[in-house]
Amino acid sequence: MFFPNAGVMVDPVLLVMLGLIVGTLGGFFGVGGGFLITGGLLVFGVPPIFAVGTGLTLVMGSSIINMLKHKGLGHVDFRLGLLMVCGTVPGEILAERLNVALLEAGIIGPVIRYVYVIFLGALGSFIVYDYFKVRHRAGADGDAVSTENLARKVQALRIPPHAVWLPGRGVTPTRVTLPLSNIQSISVFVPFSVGFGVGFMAGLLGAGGGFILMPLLVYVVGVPTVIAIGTDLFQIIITGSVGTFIYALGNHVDLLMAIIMLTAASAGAQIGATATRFVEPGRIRGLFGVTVLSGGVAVALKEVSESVSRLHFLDTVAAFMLLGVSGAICLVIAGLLLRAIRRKPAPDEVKP
Amino acid sequence: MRHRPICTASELHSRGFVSYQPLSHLPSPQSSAPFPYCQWTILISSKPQLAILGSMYDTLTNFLQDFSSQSPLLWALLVMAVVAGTALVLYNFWQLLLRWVASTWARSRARPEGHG
Repeated sequence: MFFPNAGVMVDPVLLVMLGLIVGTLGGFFGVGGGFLITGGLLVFGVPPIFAVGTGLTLVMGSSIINMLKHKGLGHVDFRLGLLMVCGTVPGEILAERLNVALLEAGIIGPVIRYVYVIFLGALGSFIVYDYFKVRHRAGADGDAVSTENLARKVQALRIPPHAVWLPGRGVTPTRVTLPLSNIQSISVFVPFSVGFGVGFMAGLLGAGGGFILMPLLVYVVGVPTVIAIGTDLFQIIITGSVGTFIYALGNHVDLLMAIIMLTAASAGAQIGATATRFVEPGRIRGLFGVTVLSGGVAVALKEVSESVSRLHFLDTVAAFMLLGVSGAICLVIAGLLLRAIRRKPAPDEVKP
Repeated sequence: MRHRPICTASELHSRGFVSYQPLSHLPSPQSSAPFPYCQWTILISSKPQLAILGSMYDTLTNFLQDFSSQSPLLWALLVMAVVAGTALVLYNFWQLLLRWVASTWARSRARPEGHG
């Protein structure tokens, strides 16, 4: 099929498969899947700039569907999401400035890839380590993590000013309660700082930031895994929309391609989001760790292929590996969902 | 024998297989036209609905190419509106479908118990 904006012929069956994978992983892990979409579209022969632009458009659309689905399940903490968004935008602006400086210095490509490899490798390794550590701990429930003490300390942080004057509300304390996230009291500057850090890393690496935010919320802020997934998606809608607008303005989005993938992603979202009701949180985090690690290996292979001219084929190997691992994890998610449905009845659709 | 089109006219055009013309300029099936024109004519005469679809696809292609290059700001807003709208429609579609499937499944399970 011919796609007029990107000016390429792509088999729509491949786009449907990619959309299905992205939708399933997005609903299950609360990530946009930008790195996966871009890699997949590049393998399908889509020009790089259109792969990024169309990828961000799909991230925006699939995040809307996934967020609505998680909202129905009672997994979205809008108050926490809005507090983080306030920090995300300045973080992205600062990262854009740094990117320009790195571009002028001529080192942007390697710097971003090295940061990606180290970051994804460390994050993925830690999540997998935490999964095995907590799994063997006696009496631990599904949402237990090894960093509970750190999360408690972060929630107890007292950051000045302790009250601010707001028009229409007068003097307002800067500590808030987030009942849905199971947080009795937390300084608003903590979610703001988390949003700022995620916005900065997302802007620097050119991603939606979901793969950074979900673990940060779980391991550092102490938010339950399913709430972190839903709230993460709310945040990704904002970052994805900004990216979509910028790339569409430069005419680097293929609308037809995005709609085809979005239709398939909507089906995958039903599988992924529904699976979070049945699969225990520890297992969700374990699978997420494996996905992040495979992303790190793929970027490392890409870096090697860029450095050594004889090993250019590693670029394709990386993309196929990423798609293969993601596809396999989608099958695992579908299998876990089927097994869990057979074993126990579904909980109520809406949890207050 | 009926001929099934493997791709649309614009795809053939982009691949450089044919230099097709608007429908009104096509030669009639009886004329001694070259091979691509003959095939195009057979496609129209055997499956008119496909020809309509092909022409709709061409119109859409032209619109996407022209509008995106002529008005970037409106195009960016259109992209966001279409994607957000499609996402909402798809979400509601799946909600309705799953609710219908769940109620049908529950009714089919309840019936044998009622009889028993």
